[in-house]
Amino acid sequence: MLALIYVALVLLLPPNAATSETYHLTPLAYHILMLFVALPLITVWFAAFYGYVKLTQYSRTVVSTADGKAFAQIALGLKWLAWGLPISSIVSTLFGGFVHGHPGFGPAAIIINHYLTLILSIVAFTIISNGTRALTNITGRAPSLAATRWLTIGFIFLAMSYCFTTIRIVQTVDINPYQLPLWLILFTIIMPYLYAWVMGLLAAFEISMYRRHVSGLLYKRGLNMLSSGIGLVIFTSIMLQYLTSSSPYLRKITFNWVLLLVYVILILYAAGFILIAIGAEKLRKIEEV
Amino acid sequence: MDRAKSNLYDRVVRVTHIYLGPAADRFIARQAENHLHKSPEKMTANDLLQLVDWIRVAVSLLTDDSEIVEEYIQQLERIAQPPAPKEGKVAHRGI
Repeated sequence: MLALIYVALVLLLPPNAATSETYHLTPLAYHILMLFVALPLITVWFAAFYGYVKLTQYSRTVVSTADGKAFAQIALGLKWLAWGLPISSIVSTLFGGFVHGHPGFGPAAIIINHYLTLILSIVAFTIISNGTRALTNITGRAPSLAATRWLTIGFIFLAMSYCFTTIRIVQTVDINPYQLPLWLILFTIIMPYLYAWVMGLLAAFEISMYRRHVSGLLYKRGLNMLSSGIGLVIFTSIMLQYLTSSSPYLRKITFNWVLLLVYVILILYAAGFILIAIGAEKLRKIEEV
Repeated sequence: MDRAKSNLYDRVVRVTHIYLGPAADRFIARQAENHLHKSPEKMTANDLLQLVDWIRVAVSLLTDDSEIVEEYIQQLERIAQPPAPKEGKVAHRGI
């Protein structure tokens, strides 16, 4: 249903003026290209729903256990990510069409889009992180000093590059892509995004730790796929958010390369959810034989 | 007697844990309840010998690796066998 709504909006709403102008597209060309982006995106939605539903089904088979409760939390967080995709795409497309007829709504549309994506990320990654922390508590193992330091260095690098990119965009691009003053961007967009990403990266690290320390040769075969999938989903989600924030820079690249980059990230995102589904099915089978 | 049965169950779960991790106790409980119709803590060595074939079938559904399946089954059969008599004490008494 959401897929049909989205395709209808992509085809029926007027084209985005900035995108058409930047890439020299006619309205027909714009709609065809948007359809080429929309169809793989819809496939990713289905993969995301499939992934979180399978993990939810597994967590229900072990609901009374400690690891079952943890996996239920992770599944809930993935559900937020999965639903976030179509919701933000549809809202963004709707607003784009509305702004075409009411340009005065443009800044508000941009602000709402940014905060909607941000809030969905914060909620999703926080819930996933709660689940992975519960899994780590089961093993009773703390991360090593080296791992903690590498994580810290990695995050500092990510935070610095994101801050630099965002502030530079705000200060150098003619039209402020956030439609907000810099101090508000710092406190209500940059900082919350960094919080969400640290939650996400910590979750990816913790599930990898759980996978390393838990026993069970056959159990680990399912868990390996599940944890790899969760890690891949978190990383690609962060990449998508980072790229969206850097979109004014992307306009300097030719459209083909931008499209290729988007497709690669979407494929990896879908692959993550498929791995989650396969891993969850393997674990569920252990509980049913 | 109950302590011996409980020890048997603990040993079975410990061995199963090597292969099924956190799902070990749930797996053994399920096999005991479905095929022996008794609580897993009340399992005897004879019960375990009866259960081994069912466990072999169940684990074979989880993996195609027959080596792992046989390794696991052999460990369970070892638990089910009575311990061998100690020869060392008899020899010392003879001296």
